[in-house]
Amino acid sequence: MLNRLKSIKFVMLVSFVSSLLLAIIYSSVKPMVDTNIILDKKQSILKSIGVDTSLLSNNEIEIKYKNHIIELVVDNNGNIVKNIDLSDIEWKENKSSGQTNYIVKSEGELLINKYLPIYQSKNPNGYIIPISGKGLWSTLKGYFAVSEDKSSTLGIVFYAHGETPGLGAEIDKAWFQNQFKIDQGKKIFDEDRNLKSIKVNKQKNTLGKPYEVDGITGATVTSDGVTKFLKRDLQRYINFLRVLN
Amino acid sequence: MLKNKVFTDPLIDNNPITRQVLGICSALAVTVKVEQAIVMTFALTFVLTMSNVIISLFRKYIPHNVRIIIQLTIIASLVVLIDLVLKAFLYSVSKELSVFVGLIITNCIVMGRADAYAMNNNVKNSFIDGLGNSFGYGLILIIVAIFREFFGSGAIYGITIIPSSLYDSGYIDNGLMLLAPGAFIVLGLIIWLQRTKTGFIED
Repeated sequence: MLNRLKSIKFVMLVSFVSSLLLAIIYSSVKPMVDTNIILDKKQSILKSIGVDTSLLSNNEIEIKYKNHIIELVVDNNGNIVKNIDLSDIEWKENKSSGQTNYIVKSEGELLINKYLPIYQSKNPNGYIIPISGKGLWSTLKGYFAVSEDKSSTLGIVFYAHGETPGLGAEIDKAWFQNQFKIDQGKKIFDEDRNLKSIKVNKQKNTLGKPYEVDGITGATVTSDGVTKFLKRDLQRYINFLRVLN
Repeated sequence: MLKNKVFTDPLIDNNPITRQVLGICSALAVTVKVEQAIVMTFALTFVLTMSNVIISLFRKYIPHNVRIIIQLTIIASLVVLIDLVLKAFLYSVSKELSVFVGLIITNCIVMGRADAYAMNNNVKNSFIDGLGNSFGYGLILIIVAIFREFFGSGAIYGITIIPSSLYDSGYIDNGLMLLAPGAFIVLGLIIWLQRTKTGFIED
């Protein structure tokens, strides 16, 4: 009995000390981790419009972001909303579909997906739309950029995913993402302004086809996932994208 | 002399992966690319040596009947610690490794060495044992990763080795090497090679 009591005391002591230590360390590095996450997002947004950020310092990324990017909010009807700030929008992932829901609190009411975040870029001019959805194992999160004609693709970037290295994780690679660059001539709208989106085609051989890019061998589910959620997320911005200003 | 043996034994003769057959799970997961294998080796070296030292330090006070729980608490705390440090100071590396760092908790080498060695030996030897086992683990990890990255992606440490002229004439990377069975095959060949040489037979 005495032995058991001693064991329990020891376990409690060890748990207490280790949780205290971790709590102290966690709260002291938390601000650094948060800055890293925000910086990583800014870096991804810059990468989506083709800015090479690999050699930039944290400060230079901040400056470039300020010079290139304007944070905007649009409503369902495609109008730019001035009285709501991007930081007022809470991003919440739907765990089963991987889609991000944008929640705005207004006069005690929760408005879901009525106001959507979008980033406008200068030089190259265009718009950047956050995208997210399921691949094979995980939720992929990234940014998709279109040129100022709101149809020609500027680029795509993924900043979070947990796909198989060497297979689904190839979406992170230059060869895949370069297919969305402006010089590839890919488009999301046809001549009549119907949304075609971009299909990730595992048949490959998509050179010269404006609404398709080469898929990834051995990663059918990831490829199909990107096709699916790209169209789904673009559909939410349809009223904004369809109208040319 | 003893010190050296504590260190060199786990490198080859008593290697944690090929001889003790521990830590296979992570050897399959992080050996697709050499770079990941190297970072994983560093992370494990930290956790294993630290846990060995801490557990050896308190080995006389840890009650025998709850020792596994105590060991697990210490190991888990260290893993959370290194995960936080990576997130704060090496964010891009931490993004690459994502879940694998957390999985060090389940790496049987850490707990195996804690229970089998650190509980019965002094701090200095436990420290050396931790280093030796980490490097033994890392050695196999990197060898397997070299094979898998070379045959699977035609590159080593991210640098393309196989010339594009070979691809043009019909050579295709072996996709099997990128999947877990590829690691099993390479690992099996290494174990076979080693045991043929040493003549060791499992009882």
